[in-house]
Amino acid sequence: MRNLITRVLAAAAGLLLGLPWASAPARAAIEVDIVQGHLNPLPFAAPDFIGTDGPSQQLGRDLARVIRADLERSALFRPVDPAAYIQQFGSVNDTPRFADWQVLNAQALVVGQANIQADGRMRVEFRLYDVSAGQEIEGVGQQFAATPDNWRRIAHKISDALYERLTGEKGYFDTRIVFVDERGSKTNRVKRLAIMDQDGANTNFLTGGDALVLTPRFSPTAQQITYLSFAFGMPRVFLFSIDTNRQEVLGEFPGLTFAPRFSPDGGSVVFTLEVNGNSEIYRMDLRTRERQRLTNHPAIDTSPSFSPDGSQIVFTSDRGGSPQLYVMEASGANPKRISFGQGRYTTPVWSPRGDLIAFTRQASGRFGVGVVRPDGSGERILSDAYLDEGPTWSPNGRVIMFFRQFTVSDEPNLWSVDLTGQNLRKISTPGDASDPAWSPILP
Amino acid sequence: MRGWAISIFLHMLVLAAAIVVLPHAVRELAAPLVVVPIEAVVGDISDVAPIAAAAPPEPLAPQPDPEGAPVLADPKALTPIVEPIPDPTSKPKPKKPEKPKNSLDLDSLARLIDRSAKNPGAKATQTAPNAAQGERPRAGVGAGKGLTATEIDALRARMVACWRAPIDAADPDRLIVKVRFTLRRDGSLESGPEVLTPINRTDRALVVASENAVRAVRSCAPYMLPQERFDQWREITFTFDPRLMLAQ
Repeated sequence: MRNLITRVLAAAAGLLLGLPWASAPARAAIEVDIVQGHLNPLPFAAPDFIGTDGPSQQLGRDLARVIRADLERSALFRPVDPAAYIQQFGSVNDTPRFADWQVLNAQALVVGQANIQADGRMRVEFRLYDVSAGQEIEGVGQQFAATPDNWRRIAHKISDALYERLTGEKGYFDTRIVFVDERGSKTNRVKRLAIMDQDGANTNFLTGGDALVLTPRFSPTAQQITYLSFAFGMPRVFLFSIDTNRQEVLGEFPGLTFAPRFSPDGGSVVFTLEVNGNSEIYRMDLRTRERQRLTNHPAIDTSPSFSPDGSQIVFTSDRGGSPQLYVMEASGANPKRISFGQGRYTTPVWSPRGDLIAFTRQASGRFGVGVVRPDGSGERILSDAYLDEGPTWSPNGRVIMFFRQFTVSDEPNLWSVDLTGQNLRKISTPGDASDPAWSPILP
Repeated sequence: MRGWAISIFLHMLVLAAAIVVLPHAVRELAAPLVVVPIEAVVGDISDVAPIAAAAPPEPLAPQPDPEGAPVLADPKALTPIVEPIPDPTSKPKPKKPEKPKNSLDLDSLARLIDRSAKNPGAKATQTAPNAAQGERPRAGVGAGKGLTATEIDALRARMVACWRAPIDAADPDRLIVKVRFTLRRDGSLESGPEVLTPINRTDRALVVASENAVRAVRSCAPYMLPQERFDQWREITFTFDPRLMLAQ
């Protein structure tokens, strides 16, 4: 015993006197730079949310199914097959048996519970766990409440919360897509504005098929869209409020108006006005209805799109001989060409993240969607087909949706691709579809 | 006079077009698609007891979808998510009880004495007397002294499978995370990984990058390293740096 105490004291003295010595050559930490990793999706488990009665159990199954599908579609996550789950939860407050989830290689675990309250509203709560650490991940657990008919939106809200906590970026699941629904033969085509949830559910039509409609664009701040309609026999820019179904023409102009897009604050619209064959870009304040001319050039200037901070505008101009991308100040000053590759560059859209501009490029008889930095560097083509056109960004700037035709006789459909050029997916729509426009995150 | 007539005629035409076409375009609308805000109740959810905990259990009859209405073009209905059974060879690491870090650990103190002075066996492995030329551990390029370049490379290769690199983040060059951890003789994690890089909790991308680094160290354990040099690899520092991947 005395011997042990002596040894311990000696050790303590050694520690105190000689910390540098204690970590001398033999104890030096090995330092390794890890410079290669993977981009594989994170495996996660999301058991059906717990319900306490029949309806809430059904709700719990539906919620978990939509959440698993949301996350899986992002390609950043991979749901572990629910059939393999071992642990059954009786309450959202049950502690997970982490070993049961480690066996399945799940790295994240979502446990949730759905309750239908006495007033008929549903209330959903959930927790997120780090399986390898064996602990709850803080800062994500919350509850959502709504009427049961909004259950899909609650699922999307939870997907967004999980996505944000696990990637550090905002999600994009509780969003909608406006697009042009197309039916009928090539010669007798009916085009209607339609709206659906980001995952293809809940399609509704916003306009009838009487007038040709094109290029819908979502307001970044409200449930409002601007689009081009031939309702008066010639192209005119319209505004449409989804909440009220109100539709109006954007001002009276002495010519054709087209290619509209909202400013980042939603307070104004930039568009093209063509008078006597000359197209110029204008901005109109939606409150005062004052308009301001931004370009002044005999060439065609069109397709304006604001930077997310509102300070700059990217647009297409053929002032250099063929359609190319230019960036100018929001006032119209200092236009500067940024595209110099082969082909024609059109439909530029500034990313909501600000770091990139998406565009359509036409070269060698094919169309592709690509991205380029606002200074013109780092151009990358993400997709290429007979016709890939009309990119629109997810509100977090990670996913681009566009429409594609494989051949001249093919019908258009919606597709999405990641910023990395990976995860190309066809979006399911009830009919043929073109011109998608992504909404901001819903409130 | 003729100009007047034409003018009046054209004006009436426009008016008629407006009356006929504009309502026409809106005609097929259903009720407005009002977006109802989803109420988020932020805060800790642990206080919320499940409401029906006391309610009598209900017989589990097959329930129809409470929504009733079929969902138009639900993509999930068309693409079931099928997942292969996880590879049984990638076994999960055995979870070992962690030692309390802050209490006085007699065992480790005693080990320290043994190693520092009195244990001839430990001394012998360090000096490697019978390997004066050939098998002496060589330092890896830019690495510490304890592992050979080949062993460091093997370690790096192993981490490829465990580290989710943040190269798709908005601003990845700055997401460099340094972590330190210690291992047991069997290669399992003894302590850590502790993040050495200062992390601002409001910097979401850096928070997630540091969590992914910690997860990588955990999920790659246990580490198979040469037993005779345990003293030298007991403590390891990893710097997770995505910049090389970005350059590729």
